[in-house]
Amino acid sequence: MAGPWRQRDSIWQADVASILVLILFVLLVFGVEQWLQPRFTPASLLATGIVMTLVPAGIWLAFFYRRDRLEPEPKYLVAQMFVLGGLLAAAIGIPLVENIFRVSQWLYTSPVWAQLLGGLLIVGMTQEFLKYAAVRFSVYYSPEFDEAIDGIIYTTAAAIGYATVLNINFVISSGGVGLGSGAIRITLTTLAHASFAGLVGYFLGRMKFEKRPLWWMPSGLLLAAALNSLFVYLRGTLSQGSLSGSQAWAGLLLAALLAAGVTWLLSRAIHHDIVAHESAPPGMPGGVP
Amino acid sequence: MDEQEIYAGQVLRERWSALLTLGLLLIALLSGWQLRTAVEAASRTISHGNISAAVPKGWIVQSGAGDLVFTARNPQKPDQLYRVSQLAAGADLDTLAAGRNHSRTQMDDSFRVLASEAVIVGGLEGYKISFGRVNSSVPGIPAVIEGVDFYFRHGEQVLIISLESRLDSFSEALPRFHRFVQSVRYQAGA
Repeated sequence: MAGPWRQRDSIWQADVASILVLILFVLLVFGVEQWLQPRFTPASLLATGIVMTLVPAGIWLAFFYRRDRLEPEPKYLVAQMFVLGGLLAAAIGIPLVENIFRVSQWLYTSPVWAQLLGGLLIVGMTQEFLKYAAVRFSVYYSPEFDEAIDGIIYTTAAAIGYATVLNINFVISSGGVGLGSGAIRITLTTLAHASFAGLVGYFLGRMKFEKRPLWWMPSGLLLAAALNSLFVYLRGTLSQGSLSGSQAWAGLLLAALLAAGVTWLLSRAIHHDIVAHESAPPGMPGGVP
Repeated sequence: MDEQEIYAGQVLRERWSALLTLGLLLIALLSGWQLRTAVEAASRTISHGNISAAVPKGWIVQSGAGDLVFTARNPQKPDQLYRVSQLAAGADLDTLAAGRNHSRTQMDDSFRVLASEAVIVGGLEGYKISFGRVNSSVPGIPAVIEGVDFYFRHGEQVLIISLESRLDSFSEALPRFHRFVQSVRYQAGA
């Protein structure tokens, strides 16, 4: 291997492009709702909502093909991670958070400190751990996981699957969602999960290909869970009551900023690693062999 | 150190890291459970006239009129509420309860008494009525409501402390309601 990371400009370009397309998707749906004002039956509202949950996943996968064309990564493994993320959400994540901890009954009406702490300890830790576990206990020892950045790719795929199931669960439990508000909520959730998982994947990739201390991975998970908690709190604050109007747009902006911010930080961290790696003397840890 | 030993060392470190990560999750979930318990037990004391009670934090409290002193409603579940009423004690508790149930049946033909019994709560003798009714004022499918009334005599007054909740969440609401019942204080002549 040439080093801990290979420069993959295409990935960051694709990430930025996919965020822009997702925002375009939201604008389009809002436009349809405003100008065409479609009428739905309860069944068609539910069906439309479920179809909408698949759009962000579809957009992300489409951009993955672009990445793949430039630097091949097996599509079947990415698809497996996507499905595994969704299954873990449906089988463990949602039942644990909603049925055992019943967070919707107490967390969001509790004081701010309790919302942030509960969001970190229960919601954030469960969700980020399951995305981590999807990769760590499946593809991690695969020969295809051959560079540190694969940690980000596979964990993000698991996160998109996780977010898709969360969105479907939200649509079904709400009996359908309005077009505009639904598009915002769905896009927001997908973007946020993908960006936090990118962080988990970064720590996972470095754990595999570098000599990192034992606390390395737990700290990465804790950081992602903390961001997750902060995001859920801010989204809840910004979109209290109706999910339409300026507050919802502020929520979308927040998610886009968070996703872009985490992507940028990851990009900086990888760039820093490459510089450190290239400047290290041959034979030294992290140096060119 | 040969390549195999380096690889074995790396695998061992990765396994310990995975165990540590799992351990962190378990600690987080246990702490989360403690947090939930603490938040759910949190309450604030309110006073209405000569009655004070510790209602769950975050619940919406509204003063009542006539016999009704106040209601406390769960904002997460609008069908779940506590109600405290006050009546002049003119008869035995069971007679009073029977008369009140009769009036409620006449006003709401879905109202059904499921059980009635004498009880002792916190050393205080009382009378308990379990009932069910249908709430058809909600949008969509009408909700089946289960409820319980506790009657307690305080000198010349009778306090009626009630819980109402949807059928599917009634049993999980009971332990918290029992804490609420024990927190209700009546000050004669206040």
